[in-house]
Amino acid sequence: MGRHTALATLLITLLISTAEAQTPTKTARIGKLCPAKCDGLAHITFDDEIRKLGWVEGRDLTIERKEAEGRFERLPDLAAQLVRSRPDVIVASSTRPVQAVKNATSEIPIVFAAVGDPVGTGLVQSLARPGGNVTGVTYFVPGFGLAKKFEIIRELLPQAQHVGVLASADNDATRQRLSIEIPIASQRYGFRIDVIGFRVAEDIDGAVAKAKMLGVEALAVAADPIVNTPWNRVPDLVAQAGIPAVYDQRDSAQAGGLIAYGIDIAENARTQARLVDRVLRGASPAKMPVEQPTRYIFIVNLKTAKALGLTVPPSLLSQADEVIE
Amino acid sequence: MSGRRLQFRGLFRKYFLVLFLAVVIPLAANGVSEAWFGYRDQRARLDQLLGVEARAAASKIQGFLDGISGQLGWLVQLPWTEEPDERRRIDALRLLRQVPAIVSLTLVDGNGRERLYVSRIGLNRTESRTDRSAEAPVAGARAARLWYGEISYYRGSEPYLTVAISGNRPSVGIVVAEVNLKLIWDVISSIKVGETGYAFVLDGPGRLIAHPDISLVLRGADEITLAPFQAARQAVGPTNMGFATSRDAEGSRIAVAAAPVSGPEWTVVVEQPLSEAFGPIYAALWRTGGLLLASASFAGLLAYALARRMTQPIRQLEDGTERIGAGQFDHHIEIRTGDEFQRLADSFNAMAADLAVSQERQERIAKLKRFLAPQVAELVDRKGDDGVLEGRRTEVVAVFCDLRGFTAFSARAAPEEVMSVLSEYYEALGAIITRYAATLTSFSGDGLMVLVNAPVPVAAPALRAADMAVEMQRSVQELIVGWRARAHRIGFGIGLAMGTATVGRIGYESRFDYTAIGSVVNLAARLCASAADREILTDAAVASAVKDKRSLVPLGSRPLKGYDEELPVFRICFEERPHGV
Repeated sequence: MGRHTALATLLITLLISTAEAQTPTKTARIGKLCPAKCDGLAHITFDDEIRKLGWVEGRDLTIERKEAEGRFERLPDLAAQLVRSRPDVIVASSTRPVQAVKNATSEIPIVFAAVGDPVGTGLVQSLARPGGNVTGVTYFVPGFGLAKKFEIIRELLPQAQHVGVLASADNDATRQRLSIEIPIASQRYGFRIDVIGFRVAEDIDGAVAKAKMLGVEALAVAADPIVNTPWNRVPDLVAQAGIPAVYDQRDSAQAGGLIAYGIDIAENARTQARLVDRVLRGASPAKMPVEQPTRYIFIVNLKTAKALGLTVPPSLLSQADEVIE
Repeated sequence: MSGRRLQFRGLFRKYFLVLFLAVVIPLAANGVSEAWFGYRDQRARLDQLLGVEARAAASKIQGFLDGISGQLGWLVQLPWTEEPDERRRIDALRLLRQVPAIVSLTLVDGNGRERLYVSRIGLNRTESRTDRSAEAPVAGARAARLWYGEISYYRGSEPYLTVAISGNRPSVGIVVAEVNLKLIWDVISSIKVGETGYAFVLDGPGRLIAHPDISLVLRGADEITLAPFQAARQAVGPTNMGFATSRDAEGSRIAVAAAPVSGPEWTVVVEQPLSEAFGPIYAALWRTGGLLLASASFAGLLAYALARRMTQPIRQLEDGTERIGAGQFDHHIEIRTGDEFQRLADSFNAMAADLAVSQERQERIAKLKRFLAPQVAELVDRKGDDGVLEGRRTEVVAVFCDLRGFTAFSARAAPEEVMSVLSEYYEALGAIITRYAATLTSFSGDGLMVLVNAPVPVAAPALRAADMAVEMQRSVQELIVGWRARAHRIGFGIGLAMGTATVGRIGYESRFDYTAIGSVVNLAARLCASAADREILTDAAVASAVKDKRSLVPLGSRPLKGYDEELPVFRICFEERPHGV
């Protein structure tokens, strides 16, 4: 059937030409603003996902990375630099870098991956309709997240009285979170809670030492870029101090932290990459609803528990997505 | 001429149209009916296909909900005691881990008091003992075992559904779960209808619960976003029978079908772009159209060729008849079609040949008639042999006659008068010559020469010639009376002689005359010259042949110009007809 062959050939040619037409011909440019370093799980996942979506760095995508190396005061300047090079989209994760970029531009689309309260901080008008140049994926809403860590500590140490929170003193979002969640936790679980603050990465040593000196029975470590740079620094220090601690992210537990409970930042990064892909293909962030996290991680490191001489109760183990032995 | 051209074109057009339509109409009818039935079949197929897709999609969504309620069922199997149930707490926590869509679980005992609350992000509660019996989920599950709440939007964006389920007896209590419907995305995005079609889910009031484009779901109860989806469901109608057409958010036409999800009273709508759904029929239409076009052009060519084949011979015949009509008898109509046309052309050619022969004969007769008596000419022609005109020696009677005083008259009289006289003269003589079957060999001015007994021999040529001469005199004398009345002094004399002479045709090409050469001709001419008005002079040969039958007057020997010795001359007497008759 010559006619059918000819038709098929025509169809295939058409398909190929449309496929070619769909693959972007111009190079897309992404600007990335990282408060510490542009690496770690979230960044790797994002880069992977964007590649899966058809954007290969070096071929049709360039990513300009700006790293604040934990120095938040540098964020506005780096944001301005990024905006000057006019990328197609700027990617930032948490509230402070996003805020810095938003202050620098109201035109270039910004996609975030871990902002707790984008509406409350004025980044978007509403989750359903962001209305501006910013959209992304949320993190824990203030009121949640940290309190859940106290719940875990109570489950783990039913007798504990004195608990510390390791948190950045510079992070407005964290401060807001603490002001809401600490009263809830202390009231519900009867903890005496000390907030041990730090401002820069160099403060971490002192903060852990202070926690030990205060004699806290457990630590809740609030998520912060500084805590994760380098990624095993805090778990190592805390383990040395012999304090059981509950972290926010998977890699902290993998680096020797006792328990990690939080939002799956890898999943958030994938969603972020998907949103970036849509922006690169012409979608307007104003009409792209802010997505909320759906996957949570709960990781227990039994090796650390053993080192600390702790027995993890079955109620916690039953919740664990991953148990490190 | 132009009229005939038009007729010719008309015939060609008629043949062309008839042949063309004879092929194209059945083809077109076939193509159109095929397309129509194909369209109907495709519609029926699409009806079935989309219906099946919708039901399959609905059962997948149902499966998602059933999976959740099935998992929840495990928490309402054992009756509550007054003691905290640690085991059930662990079960609840494990369930949270296993079913990511469940955000929180509330377990209520048989008395409607909250015994346990576990949440993925909120803080857990145990044994709060809050009375929840009046709350809708608890009341609903008590009434119907499985209860689905209204859709609510978490933080104005994510659709949440409350599901409550009771056990097989009141003491086992009730479990109430908050379900994040965003996770249906995994199910809905895996449903593909055809190449680009997909499914979406609407709740009772028409809010979007699931759609492959999650951002549409996350827009919450947004009227503009929801409008096309509600329109699509509206288009299908409440019966959920078959597919309907609607328009999607971009305004493209789509085929939609729907199926219900029982329990939460949702509707699963599947849609497929109409262009894709009818893709096969469009392809078939294009194919049919193409074939039709190809066969129409083929039919056109064929009809043209056939019509040409039909009209070309007719045109040739027409042209041939024109030429033959114009006298071109040697024109040959060349038609080698091997059919009636060829036969017709052959008979035309035969007719042309016959015409040519006939015309040739006519011409010949016309020529002969110039010097032969018509009846002789006919005879010669009928015999098809003009050998009689060949030169030979034979006995002939040569008759010469002319008018006396004509030269003087013609110099005097008006040309019209001269011609009128000559015309009367020849008319009278011509009739007589014809009557006597004599041969007019030549005439010039008023004089003429007639032969008797050549080319066709007659009985008693001398007598015949004498009678003819008498007749001539009588007729001309009557004319002369008239002419004299007009004051023309004209007379008429005749001389005849019999003897052997050479007779035959002389001349060139078509200018042939029949003539006689010999002394007898000269003698007759001399006798005529010496004849006075009213005189018929003859030589001894004629005189001896007619002497017993006609009255002769011997005039004795007369000297004649060109002759050494005198020759005997006779005058034939004749009775003039009374004047005025």
